[in-house]
Amino acid sequence: MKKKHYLIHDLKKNRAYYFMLVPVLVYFIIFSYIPMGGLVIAFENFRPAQGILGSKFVGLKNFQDFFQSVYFTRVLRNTVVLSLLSLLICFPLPIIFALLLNEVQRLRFKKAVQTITYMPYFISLVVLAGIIIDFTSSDGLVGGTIMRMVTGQSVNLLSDSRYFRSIMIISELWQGLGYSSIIYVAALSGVNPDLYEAAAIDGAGRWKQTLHITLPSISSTIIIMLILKCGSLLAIGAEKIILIYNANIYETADVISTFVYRKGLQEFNYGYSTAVGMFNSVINFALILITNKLAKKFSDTSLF
Amino acid sequence: MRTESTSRKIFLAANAVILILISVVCVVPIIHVIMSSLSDPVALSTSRGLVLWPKKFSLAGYREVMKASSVWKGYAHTLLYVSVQTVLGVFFTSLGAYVLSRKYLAFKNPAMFLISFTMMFNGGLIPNYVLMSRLGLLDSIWSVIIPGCITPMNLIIMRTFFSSIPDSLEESAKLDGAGAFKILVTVYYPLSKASLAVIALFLIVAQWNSYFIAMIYLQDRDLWPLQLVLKDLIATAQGAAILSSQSGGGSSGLTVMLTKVVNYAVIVVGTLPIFCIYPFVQKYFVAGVMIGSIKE
Repeated sequence: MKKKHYLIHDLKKNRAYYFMLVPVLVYFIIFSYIPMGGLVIAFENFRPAQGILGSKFVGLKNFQDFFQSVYFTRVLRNTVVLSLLSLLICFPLPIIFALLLNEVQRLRFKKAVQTITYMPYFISLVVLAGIIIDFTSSDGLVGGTIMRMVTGQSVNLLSDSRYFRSIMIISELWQGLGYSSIIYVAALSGVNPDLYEAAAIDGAGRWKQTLHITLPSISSTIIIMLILKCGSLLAIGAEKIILIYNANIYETADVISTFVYRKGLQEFNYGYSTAVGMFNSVINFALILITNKLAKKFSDTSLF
Repeated sequence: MRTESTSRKIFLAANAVILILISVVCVVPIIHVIMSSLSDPVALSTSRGLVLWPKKFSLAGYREVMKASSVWKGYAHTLLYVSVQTVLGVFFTSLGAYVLSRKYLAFKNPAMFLISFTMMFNGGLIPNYVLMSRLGLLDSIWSVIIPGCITPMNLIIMRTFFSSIPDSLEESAKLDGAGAFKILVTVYYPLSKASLAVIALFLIVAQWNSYFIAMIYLQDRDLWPLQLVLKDLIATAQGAAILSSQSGGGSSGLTVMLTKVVNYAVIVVGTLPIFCIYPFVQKYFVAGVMIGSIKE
């Protein structure tokens, strides 16, 4: 009873503050929570004309259709493979890059390298796709010149499903290496220099210092970034792939989100598409909770 | 001791070489695109390998791009979307973040949970699309401006900054009789110009570079932002190139050569404004990423 009293008192006393928060809360309720409610579409044979309440409820049919379809294994495999490659390659390299940068003593050189390597991050996906298409075409720099040097034959790399994963990972690395390292560079600059001095006096070389001082002091940053990365493991966005893939390479290029896009907004199969998207979101959500729990258990660092 | 310093020297030299190599790899594709865009279409079509300097300087590509009225319209729309979204976004984000940074508010944590939860779970493509169409916002500028206007991340960054401002300032302003909103505008805004700039720049860059939302919600080409126009131009050029390679060049050869240069010019036109502000943006971006990474 007392608690309730306190809450009402707080609402009254600080109503000016709560009033200022209203637009933000309304925004999230309308544009985030109502779409979450809209997930019932996944359990319906949804027809836009009949609306969410008027459409026929079909239970788990859309999910069953997806799990039994030939596309299920393909999109799931492609999503998982691309995610794991990204986790194995695009996650550790920025950390290594930050460690290398940290060893540079000339501040000017360090700043120049940072400025240049952050730059690709600011290029839009459309432009990145334009560059990828140009470079990988059979008369482009990679598909033409380099492929001719290596294999003696020019290839349009985007029409061969074998090359798609490399193209995705390399372009992700090119665009994100510098930018993803920012956070580690910042964490590294916060390491107390006295620790290194003490270690040097104890006879530890640079390598040992890195292993026993540098890495432990940025480990919490690494773990948080790892949780975030694992949480978005299956959330590979459709935005980049849609710009560069084509029906010839669906075998490796079609992921869950591109499948959702095609089924939903190109074939207007709303219920089915929503079900596939929901399957993805639920797994993502579970992944975040699991990685967070594991991180908490093994390292005392966690997101929430 | 001597061996240690020698190996250290070797390491530092190797390190510098690696870092230079990485920088070169990052910058060379950009130079290649810029220099190709300034080349003569015919000269470019016969060149092999990297273009690090214009092949027979020519502005033919840019002339073609400038002729396309859709590019100008796209620019105008992008500017409209960017400016409206930035103003609204910064204003509402600062309002919300200010309230959420007040430690004494009883409902602060539930509100924060409600907001952060949306980072982990969302309705997805179709429910969002159905909502937009129900609200009658398809083919309206608001369908592009509203999504991404207020983001949990920006709220968290702003809130972290506001909580670092001493409470005593707020208390003394309260004693002077100032209300919550007045305190935000007269006391907090002047002290947080840098972080307001961070939020503004996050919004500007994201909106400038986005095409997907517009592609979904805007059927009307007259409303397309620049990136969507560029996407269309690139796709058309790609289509023309494939078509002519199948028909074996011939009379369309020159147009194909031209489309390649046009492609490069399009890429430069779409990126130039961001690169112009990049030197100023960079340090704010770094600051933003760092604040965003601090947990409570």
